[in-house]
This record gives sequence, structure tokens and C-alpha cells, in this order.
Amino acid sequence: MDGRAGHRPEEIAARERAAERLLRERGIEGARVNAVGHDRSVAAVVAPADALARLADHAGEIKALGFRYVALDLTAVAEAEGRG
Amino acid sequence: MTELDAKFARLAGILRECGSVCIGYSGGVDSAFLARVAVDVLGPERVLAVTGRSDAYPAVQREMALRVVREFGIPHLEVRTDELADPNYAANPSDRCYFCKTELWSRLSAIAAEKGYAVVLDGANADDAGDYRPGMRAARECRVRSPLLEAGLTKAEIRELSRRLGLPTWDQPAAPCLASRLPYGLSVTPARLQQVEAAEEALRGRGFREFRVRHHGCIARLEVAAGELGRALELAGELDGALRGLGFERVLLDVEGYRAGALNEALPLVQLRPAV
Repeated sequence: MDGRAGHRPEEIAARERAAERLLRERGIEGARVNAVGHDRSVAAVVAPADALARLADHAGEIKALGFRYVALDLTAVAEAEGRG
Repeated sequence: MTELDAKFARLAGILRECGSVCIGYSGGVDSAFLARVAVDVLGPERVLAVTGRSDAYPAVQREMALRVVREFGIPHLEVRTDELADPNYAANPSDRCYFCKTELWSRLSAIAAEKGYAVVLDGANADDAGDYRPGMRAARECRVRSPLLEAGLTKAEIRELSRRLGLPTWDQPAAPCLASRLPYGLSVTPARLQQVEAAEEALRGRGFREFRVRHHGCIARLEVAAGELGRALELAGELDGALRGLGFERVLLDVEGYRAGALNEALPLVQLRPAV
């Protein structure tokens, strides 16, 4: 994570939107990104389960936006399966 | 003589030079190997393996520790350590291990002096030398020796020698203390450690072998071995239910999978903020 990455709400939101834009440009449509964790350093990506490998391919680029970790939101996957 | 045989002979020589030893013993790959070889070289009357027990010491690790001392006749002592009472440790700074190990090595040094063991040993190996290990600073300050490191033995070599000696730890995954699952800056509490331990037990019970449950406050981030990521996805509902039942609000699966020392990836920018 870039040490300069901000913790103000608008800075966090900007990082989230930037990550979503990047994923869209990489062909992962409709993914949502939430900065979570006690220091908002985890990019929690809400996306279908089959996007995992592609997310891994782009983890470095997402981290460069100011995150330390990139993770698929398993709770969202479970909830989607429950609805399906 | 192979290079590995030569290193093993060097290790035996270092142990003989020590005379009698008190070993910091977690039951992990390194300390189990060291204790086993020490008993072979010096005899059980000149060896004492000491385990420091605290909330950060996983029960599954203790089971292995007790199994090894039983099977190989290693004299063993458990002492209660209280690193969580040290605010320097509980605040979880990047040198947290220094405070934990200072407590441990101080206790072991006192035990060694009281019972007449000449040298206190740890299980650091040659691979540890290049890593970020503030715990090794505490060892140096307490004059603890590291015979595996001194002999130049790497983790892979220790696993191979352990296999030859019939140690059940030879292929055991690395098992650092539970506090290592909390990112620096997130305070270490008994409740968080218990959550991590129970969550990891939930994964272990479902057949996962190499993994970590990283605690990010109300979030659990799972790191599982690359080969097990697919199965984690298949079990998404089950894992989510189990971990949320332990108090986590959300469960995440790290896309890069398990990697040792992942929390050290954040080290260059750990901020010295009050723990939360």
C-alpha cells in the first residue's frame, strides 16, 4: 500500500472507484470494491466466484491504487448462491 | 560426506560444545528437530525443552509438541507466559515479537540458571537470517544461541533430516503464533486470538492444510494455498456461515492465496498509530 494513501472518507471512496474502474477496463464487469479492515487496507471485491483467477492477475495493479490486500468477498458469493 | 551430513555433524558439535541445554520448544519443525537431536547427542539428563504457553499458542501446536516429547523421550516443561499483559506487545507494533521473545527468553534463562543448564537455545534456522525477525534481537540480548542457524541448516534441510529421524513434524506446515494473524496496529486481545484459533480450526476440520485466517477487526481474510482456492470457493457458504458464527461480520478470500509472512508485506508503511 502506498504510505501516502489517505484515510479520509473521500480519499477512501476515490480509491474504491479507481479500483472498480480498473477492473472494468480489465474486463471484469460489474465488480464493486469496498475498502475494509481496521485501516481500510483491504480491497474487498464483490464479484462472481469465477472471477477469482482474473482478480489475482490484476492484484498488483489494484494494490498500486493504495491497498495492501485484494480479496474476493466470500460473504457476497455465499449470499448470491443462496439467492440463486 | 554430503553437505547435509556435514551440517548435521556441525550441529552435533555445537551441541556437544554447549554441554547442557535448555531449548525454547514450540513443537514446530525446527524446535522439535533441535530437541530430538540434542537428546541424541547429549542424553536426556542434559536437555530440557521448555514451552511457553499463552493465548497466542495454538492448541493444535501444543498437541504436536506433547506428542513429540512423549515419543522421543525429551524432558519437557511448560511455563505460562504473559506477554499479553505487556502493553508494548498488546499494541501490536511491527516489532511485537521482540516483546514476546524477551518475556520468553528471560523466563527460560532463569529456568536454565536455576536448574543448571549451561546454554539456552532457540530453533532459528539459516533461512530466518534474511527475514525480518525482531524476535532474534531479543534472543541475542538474552544470549540465546541458535545452533541450527550456526550450522547453516535451512528449513528444507531440517525437514529432510526430520523425515530421516522419523519426526512427525517433518512435513508440518509452518505454525507461527496466533498473534501473527493480526495486522500490525490492530491490538492483540485474548478474544481476537480465540476467534482466529476457532476459525482456523473450522478450516482445518474441512481438510484445508496450508492457510491462515487473517483478522482485520470485524473482517476475516482467508489465505489458502493456491491449490485449495477452488475448494474454498465451492465451500463459500459453509465457510462464511462458520466464520460469521464466530463473530466476524464479513469473510473474504485473498485472491493471491496463502503466503508466509504476508503481514510483513505492509512493513515499510506501518504507521506508529495507537492500536485499535
